[in-house]
Amino acid sequence: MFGRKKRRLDPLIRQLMEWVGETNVLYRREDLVAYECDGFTLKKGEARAVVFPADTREVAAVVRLLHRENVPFIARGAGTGLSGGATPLGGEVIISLVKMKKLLRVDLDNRIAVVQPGFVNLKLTQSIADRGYYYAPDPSSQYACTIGGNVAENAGGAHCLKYGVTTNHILGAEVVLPDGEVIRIGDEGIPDMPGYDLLGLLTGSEGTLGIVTEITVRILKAPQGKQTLLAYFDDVEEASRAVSDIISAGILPAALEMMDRTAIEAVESANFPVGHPLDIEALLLVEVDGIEAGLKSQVEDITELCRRRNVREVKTARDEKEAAAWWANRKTGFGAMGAISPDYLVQDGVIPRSTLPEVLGKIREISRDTGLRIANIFHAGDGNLHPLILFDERKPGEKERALEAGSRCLKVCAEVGGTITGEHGVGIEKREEMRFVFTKEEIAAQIRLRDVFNPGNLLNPGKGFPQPGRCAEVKQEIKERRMAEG
Amino acid sequence: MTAMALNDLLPAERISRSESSNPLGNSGDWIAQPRTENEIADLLRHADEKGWKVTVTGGGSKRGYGGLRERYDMMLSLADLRGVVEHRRGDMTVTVRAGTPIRELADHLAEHGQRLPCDPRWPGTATIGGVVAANETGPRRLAFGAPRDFVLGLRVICPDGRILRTGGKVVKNVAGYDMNKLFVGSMGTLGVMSEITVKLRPLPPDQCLMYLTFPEGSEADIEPFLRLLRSSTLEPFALEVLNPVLAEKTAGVNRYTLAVAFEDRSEAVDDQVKWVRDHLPEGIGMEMRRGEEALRCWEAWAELGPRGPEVPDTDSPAAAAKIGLRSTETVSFIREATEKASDRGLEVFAHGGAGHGIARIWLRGTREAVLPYLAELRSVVEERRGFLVADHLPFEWRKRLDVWGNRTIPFGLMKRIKDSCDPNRTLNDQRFVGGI
Ligand SMILES: Cc1cc2nc3c(=O)[nH]c(=O)nc-3n(C[C@H](O)[C@H](O)[C@H](O)COP(=O)(O)OP(=O)(O)OC[C@H]3O[C@@H](n4cnc5c(N)ncnc54)[C@H](O)[C@@H]3O)c2cc1C
Repeated sequence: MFGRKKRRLDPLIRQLMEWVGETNVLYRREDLVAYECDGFTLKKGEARAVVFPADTREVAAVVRLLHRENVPFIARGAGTGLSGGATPLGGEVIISLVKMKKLLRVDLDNRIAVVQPGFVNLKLTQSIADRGYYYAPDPSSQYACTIGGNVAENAGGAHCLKYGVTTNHILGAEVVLPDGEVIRIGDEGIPDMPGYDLLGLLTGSEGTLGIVTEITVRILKAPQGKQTLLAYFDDVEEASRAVSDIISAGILPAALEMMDRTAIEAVESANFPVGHPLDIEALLLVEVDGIEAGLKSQVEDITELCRRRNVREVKTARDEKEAAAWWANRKTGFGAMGAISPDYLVQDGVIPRSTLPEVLGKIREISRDTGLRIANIFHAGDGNLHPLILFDERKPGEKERALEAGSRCLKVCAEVGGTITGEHGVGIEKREEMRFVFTKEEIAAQIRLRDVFNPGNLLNPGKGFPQPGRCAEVKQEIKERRMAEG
Repeated sequence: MTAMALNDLLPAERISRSESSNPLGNSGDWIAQPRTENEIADLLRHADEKGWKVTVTGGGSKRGYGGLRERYDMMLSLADLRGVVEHRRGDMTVTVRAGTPIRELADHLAEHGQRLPCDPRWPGTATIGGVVAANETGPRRLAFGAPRDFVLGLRVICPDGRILRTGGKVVKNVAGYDMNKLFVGSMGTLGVMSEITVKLRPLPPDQCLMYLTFPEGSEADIEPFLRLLRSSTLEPFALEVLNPVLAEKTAGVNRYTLAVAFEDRSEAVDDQVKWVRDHLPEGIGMEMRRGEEALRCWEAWAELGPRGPEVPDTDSPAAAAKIGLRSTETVSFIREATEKASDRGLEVFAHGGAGHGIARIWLRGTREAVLPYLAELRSVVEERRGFLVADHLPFEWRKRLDVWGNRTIPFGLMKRIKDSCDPNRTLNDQRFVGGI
C-alpha cells in the first residue's frame, strides 16, 4: 500500500524527498493544516508541501529545484509572525528552518555570536547569560520565535528604545537567493564592508528577498545595574504626557511600556497577575539600566516627573524577582486577551511620541464606532502602539469589523506622521494599508528592488505590497493627499 | 553640455563653469548649486536624458574618496540646500536638508540639550548628506552606532527626477523594505538625498576622556587590559588605540595610548573612572579630561587627518584609509601599521576602535612609497578577513590602487541594484566599489 501511494506521489514531492529525505517532507493534507497560517489567523491558505532542510546546502538545492520548476516557496521559522508573512496563499512549498537550530559559535571578546536561522531568540541569551552576556532584541514571543524570523521581520521588543531593533544587531548573514545562489554578507561580523548595505536591505524584507541560512549577531554585556518602576495613573493622557516628559528630560530608559485599563483587566485575569489595581486608567512600566551608580538619580527623576503628572502611585521593584514578575505580566499581554475575549487582532502602528494623547483618543472613538473593545499594550517610549481589537469570530460580521477597526487605527497613525507597522510587518494583513504611507511610485520603487533579488517573484509572492487593481479609490485619495503635501 | 541648457534650469548666478582641475579628481565642468528639491530633480532629469555624468558634493571633504573619473559633466553641489526643516524636540527626531554642515546641526541641537549620535571628521565642512552617503563614523561609534543606525527617513531624488520618500519620521518602522539602506553608505551612486530624518540622543549630563599611555616596552600590556575592560560591565563610549605620533598630537605623549571615554551621569562617570584607575597595570600613565575639556579634545580630534577641499601638496600628498577588523585585532593592526610604515621610512598616524573594529590611518609621502605600503597593509588585513578602503587619495593614485580592495563581495547583486536605480549611470559614475 505504501508503494502504491508513493507511485501516485506528486513528482515534485518525490524530488524534494531526494534532497532532504523522505521524513523531512510533509505533503498530506492533514499534515499541512498546521502551516495554513502564522500568528495572524484571519487569513489561511494551503501549502503544497513543507520541507525541513538540515543545512544551507539542502536549502540551496531545494530552492534551485523550485526555481527550475517555477514553484513558489516561503521560508518559515516558528510561525509566530503577526501579519501573515509565513502564511501560504495557496500552492507554495514551505521551507521550514526549524531543524537548522544550532548555535554555531560565540566569540565573547568580539561580542558576536553565529547562529542558524531556526535558533530560538531566547536561547541565545540563555546560552551566554552565565558569562554575563545577552542578545538585546527581545520580542515578547522570544521564547518561541527564531532569529531567522526576527531578521526577516526586523523584530523589535520592549528593550529596543535604548538598544535598537534587530537591524542594529545583525552583523552578517549567509543567504540563499531565490535562484539558489548562496551569498555571504558581512563576514566575521566586521561592519562597513565595502558595497551596498545588502544586510540592511534583507533585514525586515519579510522573507521576500532571500532565505537567511546563517546569522552573525552582536551580543552585549548585561548591564551592571537595572531598576524597574511601575507607575499607576488615573488618566491616560497624564500617563502619555509623562512618557514624553521622561524622554524630553534626556533620560533614555531601556524600556518604557504602557498598558491601558482594558489591557490591565486582561493581564490581571490571565496567567501572570501581579496585583495591578483594576480601577486605574493606565500604567507605565519603566526600566532604566546601566552603570549602577547612575541609576538612583534616574529613578528619582522619573518618579518626580510622574508625580508632576499626578500619578497615583509609583513603585520600584524590590528585587529581580518582582521585576521579572512585572515583565512576565507585560510580555504575555497579547495572549492574556484570551482571558477576556474569544478572539483578538493585534495592530502595530507607530506615531511620534508627542501625539500619544491625541491618537489614544482617536482609538477610543474607533472602539465606540465599531462597538468593539480595544485594549492598548505598547512600547510607549518608541511610540509603537499595539491596539488589541477584541472580537468574537462566531458572531457574524465581527471579524470584518475588527479588521476595519485595525485598518482605521493604522490610518490614524499615518495621519499624525507615523507608520502602519513598527515591528510586525506588512505581510498579508497590511498590504492595502501600505498606501496610507507610500505613494504608488514609492511602492513601485520597492517592487523594483524586490525584482533585483527575486526577479521571478517566486519567493513569498503576494506579500508586503498592495495587490494590483484593488482599492482604486483609496489609492487616488492617498496620492492626492501626498501631492498636496508636496 | 551648454550653459544655455542649464540656464533654463537654474538662475545664472548659481551655475558656474569650472576649468581648473583638482588633483583629487571628481571635478565638474559645470558647477550647479540648486536650492530646492525641484531644481535638483530638473537638473538630474535633464542630465539623465542627455547622457551627462553628474557628481554630487556637500562640503567636499570626501573629494579624495573613490572615483575613477577626473571630471564629470556637472558637479551638483548641495552646499545651498541647508537648514533644519523640522525639529520635533519631544520626539527626539530632526529633519534636516542634506547640505547642512554637521556643526551647524550640532549647534542647533545643543541649544535643546540634544545631539546627533555621530562624531565624524571635519564637522565644520562635512555635511549630513555626505556623512550619511559615506556612512561615516568617529571614535564614539562604539556607543553611537553608525548613520545606518540613526537614519529614519530620507527624501531622495532619483536620476530620472522622481522624488521618493524612504523610511519615515518615527523611530520604529518596518513598512515595506528598509529603503534607507539603499542610500546610506552608497556614496551617492543611487540617488541624491535632499532631506534626512534622524534619531537624536540627549546630550550627556557629564563626560570624560582618559588617555592611558603605555611606556615603551609595556605595549604588551595593552591587549590584556583591553580584554579586562571589554569583559567588564563598563560602558565606554570610545575605546581607541592610538599610535605614538598620533598620541603625541592628541595627548602630548609619544607612546601607544588608549583613549577611553565615558558619558553618563556624574556618579556613573566617576565610578567608571575609578574602575579604570583600580585596574590599570603598573607604570601606565593616565591623564583625564572632564566635561568641557573632554569636548574640546573630541573637537580637535575631528580635525585630524587630511581632508578633501585642501589642495594637496603634489610631491608628497596625503593619503588615508579606513580599515575594518575584528575588535580584538585592532591593537596588533595599529602596531603593525606603525612598524611597517617606519620600515619604509614613512610616518603614519593611526588609531583604531578596540570595541568596534574600525581603524583609520593617514600619512604623507610619494606615490612610490605610499601605494606599496597601503597594498601591504591591505593584504595583512584581508588575510584576517577584514578590509582596507583608501578613503583619501589623489586621483592619479586611485587608478593604480583599487580604493575598495579585493575582498569578494556579492558584487553581481550590487551591480543589479545600480542598474535598477540608475540605468544610465548618471550619478557618481565609477565612484564606488567595482567601478559602480
Ligand atoms: C505573542 C506574540 C508576541 C509578539 N511580540 C512581538 C514583539 O514584541 N516584537 C516583535 O517584533 N514581534 C513580535 N511578535 C511577532 C513575531 O514573533 C516576530 O515577527 C518574529 O520575528 C517572527 O519569527 P518567526 O520565527 O516566528 O517567523 P515566522 O512567523 O515563521 O516568519 C515570519 C516571516 O519571516 C520569514 N522568514 C522566517 N525565517 C526566515 C529565514 N530564515 N529567512 C528568510 N525569511 C524568513 C517568513 O517567510 C515570514 O515572512 C509577537 C508574536 C506573538 C505571537
